[in-house]
This record gives sequence, C-alpha cells and structure tokens, in this order.
Amino acid sequence: MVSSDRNSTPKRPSDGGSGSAGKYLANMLYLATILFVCGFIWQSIASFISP
Amino acid sequence: MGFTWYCLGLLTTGSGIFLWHFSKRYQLNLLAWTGLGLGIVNILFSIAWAVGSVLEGVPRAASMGLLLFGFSGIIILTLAFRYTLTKRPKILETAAEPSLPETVETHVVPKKEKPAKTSVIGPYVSVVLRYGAYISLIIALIIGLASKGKDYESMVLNKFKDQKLTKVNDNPVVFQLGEKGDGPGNYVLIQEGQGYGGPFVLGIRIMEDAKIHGIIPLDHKETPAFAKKIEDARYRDQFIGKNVNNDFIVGVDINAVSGATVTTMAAAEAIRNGAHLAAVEKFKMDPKWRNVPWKFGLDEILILAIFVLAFFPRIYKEKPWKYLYLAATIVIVGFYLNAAISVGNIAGLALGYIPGIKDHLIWWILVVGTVLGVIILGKNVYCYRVCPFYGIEYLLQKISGMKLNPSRALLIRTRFIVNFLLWLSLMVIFLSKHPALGSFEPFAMMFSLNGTGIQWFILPLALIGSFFMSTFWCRFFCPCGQALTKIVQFRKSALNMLKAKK
Repeated sequence: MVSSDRNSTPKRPSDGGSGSAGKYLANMLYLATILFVCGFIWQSIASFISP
Repeated sequence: MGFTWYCLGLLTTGSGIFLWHFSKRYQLNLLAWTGLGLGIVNILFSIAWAVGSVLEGVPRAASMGLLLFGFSGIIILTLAFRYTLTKRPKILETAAEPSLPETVETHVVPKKEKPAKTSVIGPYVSVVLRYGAYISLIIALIIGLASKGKDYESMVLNKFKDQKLTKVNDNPVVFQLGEKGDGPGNYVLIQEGQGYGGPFVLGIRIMEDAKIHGIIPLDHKETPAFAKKIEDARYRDQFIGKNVNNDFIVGVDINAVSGATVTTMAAAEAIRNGAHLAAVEKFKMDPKWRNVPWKFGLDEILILAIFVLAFFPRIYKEKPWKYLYLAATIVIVGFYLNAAISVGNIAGLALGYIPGIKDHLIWWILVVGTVLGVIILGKNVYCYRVCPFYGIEYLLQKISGMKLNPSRALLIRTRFIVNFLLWLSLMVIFLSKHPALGSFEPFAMMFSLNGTGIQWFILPLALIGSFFMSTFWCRFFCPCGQALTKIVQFRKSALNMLKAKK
C-alpha cells in the first residue's frame, strides 16, 4: 500500500512482479481513464457554452 | 455491431487457446476450470452488453453491464488465477530445457538503470506553467464571482411557455402568471438553495388560497445524482396542498430522502423560507410555525465519530481497527449518506456556496472540517482515511493482490497530468459557477448509481484500475485529493515565508 498520509511524498508501489503485459494493461487503463475524464470535462464545457 | 461480434469471436478463440496452454502447465481441477471459464464468459458477455447499450444510446446500462458482469468477471478470473498459481501443482515439462554445464560461469551483466527523470519539462517552463495556472485560476474566480445574476424570468418562461409573466416583487423575486389583475393570483416565488455540490433554483407556485400548488425545479448547479432527487415528483408532491404557514421541517411534516440528505434538506429549507415570506408579506399571517431545530441525530453522530477518529493513527492504521474503520467509511459516508467530498465542494467554498449549519451539519463536519483541518493543523485527514472511495480501492487491492504500475514514461507525467486535470476542473467550475460541471469524481455516482453521460464510464474504469493498481484513482486522478494537497503545500510555504521574515 502506498503512504497512508496524502501530505507525505507518495512512494511508488512495487510492480508486484508485473511483466510487460501488466505494464501494457496499466497503461491502457490509465489512458482510457484520462480519455473519459477529458471527455467529461469537454461535455461540461460544451453544455456551459451552449446549454 | 457486426464488428463487435467479429472481435468477440477473436477474443473467445484467443481465450480458448490460452486456457488450453494454461491447462498444460497446471493441473486444473473443477474449481479452477469453473472460475476461469466463468470469469472469461462474464468479461466477454459484458463487452457485448456494453457495446450494445452504447449503440442503443443507454450509457447507464453499458456502465452497469461493465460493473456487474465485466468487473465481477475480472474478480473471478483473478481469484481463479491466484488459486491455480498457489494451490494447484505444476505439470512437469516432458522435454527439459537444456541446462548450462556447471563449470560454465554465467556472467549476468547488470542493466544500467537510467536515472529517473522527475519532470518532463524544464524548470523555467515549469515555473511559468505553475504561476500561469495560479493567476488564471484567480482571474477565473473573479470573473465567476462578478458575473451577473441569474435570469429568473427566462427560467420561469421556459416552464410556462404560453403564459404571460409579470414580475410583481423583487425581494424575493415573484412572478405573476397570466394577466395581472385577471382572476385569482397565481404566483411563482423564486428561491435558491445550497445543495451538496452547488446551488439550485426552485419556483414555488402559490395561489390566493395561501397553499402551495407546485414546486418547479428551474435550474441547478448541483451534482446531477443529487439534483435528480429533488426533481423527483414524489419528493416535490409532498409540499403540494400545504399551507404557506406550515413548518416544512424535514422529519416533522416533510419526509427525508436517503442518499441525498443534504440536497433534499436544502430544498426543504428553500421552500420553507419562500413559503414563510409569502405568508408574512402577501397573506399577512402571524409567524406561528416552529423554529428549525439543530439537526443532530444518529447520522450526524456517526459522521462526527468517523471524522474525529481520523485523527487517531491507531484507528485508521492498525488492524483490526483499520478494517472496521474502512467498513464504516464505505457503509456510512458512502452508501448510507453518500457524502463523499468532491472538488466541487472545495471550489464551492471559494464561490460562497455554503449551506446553513443547522440543517447541514454533515456537510459542515466533512467539508469545512476537512478544509479547516488542513489550514489550521496542516493535516489532510480526509484522504486515505474518511474517503469511502479509498476504502473501496483498498478492498479491491486486497482481493486482487496486484500492484501494477504504468510504464516509467507515463509515470513521470502523472503528476503533471493530475495537476492539469485539477486546473481544468477548477477553471470550469469558477467560470461556469457550477461546481458539478467540473467534478469528474465518480463518488456520488458510485454510491447512488445516478449519473450523466460519459461519467458512467469513469466509474467502471476507476474501479477496474483500482483493482489492478494500488490507489489508482487517488494517486493519478482525484482532483479533490490534489486540491487538499495543494492547500497543505500553500500552508507550508506560507509558514516558511513567515519564519524567514522573522
């Protein structure tokens, strides 16, 4: 588990022995989440500009 | 859809081949076969379900499908793998790999570790970006605060398109429907309330009989999941037919609504204020209604207990208290009260969106308590303690036992990206004066299963991500946590500057 105190510098958790497939999966999940978060904000901006 | 079936066919074939290879390496028993098969079938089914739902324009169904079938499939599959790898015997290879003769020394050249980069941009660009972000946020906040008031008339006209509207009072704003002086008075009194995520505007339809004839939701800047609760006819109908001099107190003559306590109480407060104003000013009634008591019941006691316990490391760090505490945050702060803090709450404070303390003690304990804790003590007691989503993430990590991480190239950019997302979120909130527009956290949705559009896909991704990566959402995305961290850093810098001056 990472540091339980958000104020302290978060330690990078170990990879848990993940290989390239694990990295690929993690990258895909991270990028997909960014894509949908940006989509949500874009949707919000669009609804604000033209309600 | 044809392409989906093609892809599903490929995935099914690939899964079959994988299972065949896997069964050659491990002695699978019935339990392992069932777990692996069920997991794969669930995942494939959820993909078909989600794509079908998106094509039909029902994102909620797609998200539910991904959560119920896909996510459960991932969990079952992971558990089956863990069971097989740890409990089932390996099948010995028939053709042993040629081993190196003992006399030959193996020299393993250690790979040179590249020095870890801490930033992808230069120091000067970093400073310019940082101060540019702060200045733009201050400008956006000023623009938001200075922007003109709401156009109530067009809001009411939007609901009563064929009616003539006459403004008959300014404070509170009251419109008369129909021609002025024709027939009995038919008024719409405007009131604003402060919900959990932002303000909302209600129209209270009052006629000459001094009774409420309708509650009209006109506009809201509330979290959609909560706004839906006050837009629900069942909630609004309980006000209809009541005299304007009634008490309108939740728990006395108005029923509470679970899952959106703060917002529905704020709506009751707005309606009460409006009705009582009409009773005194229009109908010249004596104020005989009861004063609103402090709302301090079991809910408030539970939240206060959870919040106070967050200051004791023994409770949130040491087992078995840690598990009890996490369960309490998930059940009480999450599912029961749905009171998780979002970036909208913190930005709303800057915009002056603060509900009354008597009715909204829960909001005050969590939001004001957290911000004051950060400012006064320099401690963020909310993240990794009170936050119910962290509890969920921790639970998922325990089930999966996996701690994957994105690649190094992506990892060094995550800090910049989370800061950028926080900046973007705050800019949207300040300029629109709408806290819910920038709050992309899936918390409110997760615990009430109400949401809008793309938000439906953030929730399954956040959960699946947290299953594979430790505190995936908290570390890489949470704008609320990042905002609280920034306040802690500001406080530290301010104190250091003060010390340096002395």
